[in-house]
Amino acid sequence: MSLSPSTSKMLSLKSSDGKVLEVEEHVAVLCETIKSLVEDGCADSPIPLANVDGATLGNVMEWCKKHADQKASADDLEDWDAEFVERDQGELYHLIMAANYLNIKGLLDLICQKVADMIKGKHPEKIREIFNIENDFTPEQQEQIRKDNSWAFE
Amino acid sequence: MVPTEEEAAAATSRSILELLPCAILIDILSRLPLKTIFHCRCVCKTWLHLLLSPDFAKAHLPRSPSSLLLQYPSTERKEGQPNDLFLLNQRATDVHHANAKMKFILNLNSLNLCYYELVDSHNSLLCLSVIVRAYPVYILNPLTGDYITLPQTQKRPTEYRSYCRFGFCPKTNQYKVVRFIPLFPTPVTLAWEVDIYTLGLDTAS
Repeated sequence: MSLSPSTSKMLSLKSSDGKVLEVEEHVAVLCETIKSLVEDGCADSPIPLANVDGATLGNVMEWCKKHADQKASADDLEDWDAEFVERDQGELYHLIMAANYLNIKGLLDLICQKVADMIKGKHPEKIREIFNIENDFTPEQQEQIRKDNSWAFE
Repeated sequence: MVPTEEEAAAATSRSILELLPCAILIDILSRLPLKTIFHCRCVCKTWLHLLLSPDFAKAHLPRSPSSLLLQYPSTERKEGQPNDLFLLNQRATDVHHANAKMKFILNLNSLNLCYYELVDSHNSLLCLSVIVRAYPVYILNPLTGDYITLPQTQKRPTEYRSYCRFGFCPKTNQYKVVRFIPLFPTPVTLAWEVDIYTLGLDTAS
């Protein structure tokens, strides 16, 4: 299915906190969840998105708009994405949950990779510190698990 | 479901990684290099549990970079010297860099597998045995530390020069070990006993 911008109509999306966002259909259908509704002819009234708050929905649609733009080159998108993911952990969390709920594989991939990059190359203590994770191993378990995985600590 | 203020507050004090669904956390962790995955096992119990789960293995296998497994030839080794295995990341540009290679410590439950030779490897499962004796044969998952010992045959292969090979069939998702044991200890043996071991992986479970 290809929908060109000139023929694209507007869809209205309603966030969990009641904000209504007008979005071009060819942009909104990057969300597989919305695409299914459009294809089934159920996208007339404002589409209620009970799991996405207004601020997150705005961010998601900003990403969809950029990625629906057929003039954007691959390099351009890569640079743009790199800037897009420079956010705090709370925002990244909401974006992951929204991308998962709206079924946007490209966005979910992007944010998951960003979080993976934040973990990459770090030692357990540093990972716990960055993500505020409690160490629930007993000192004995800790020592054993460290011993079992000692090759990674050389 | 609208996040309540409490939930929002919890999201800021609790780790975002603890709030994510398991499938997404597995997706994130499966993107990490091998070394960091081992570090992640030491972070907390939940992560350790997730990283040892079959779901993680399934997510990680297609993403894991192709690597070379290296072992010094037995002729290069002194008597009684451990036969360490090294994993070399083929994407590494500098092989001398600390992250390019990783030493496998095959010392599991008092059984020191580093004294055995690598027969072959498939999908990160290793087959280890004693060259020319082909007994005992171990199939090992070095990432989880699990291993099995193949059952002994009725013949006494220790007396003869035996061989074994290890293979994987993607169609049936089964691993097979073939062991050749000569029936007579002559230099040119024409009669062999061949044992075939099948390690079935039921994809449905």
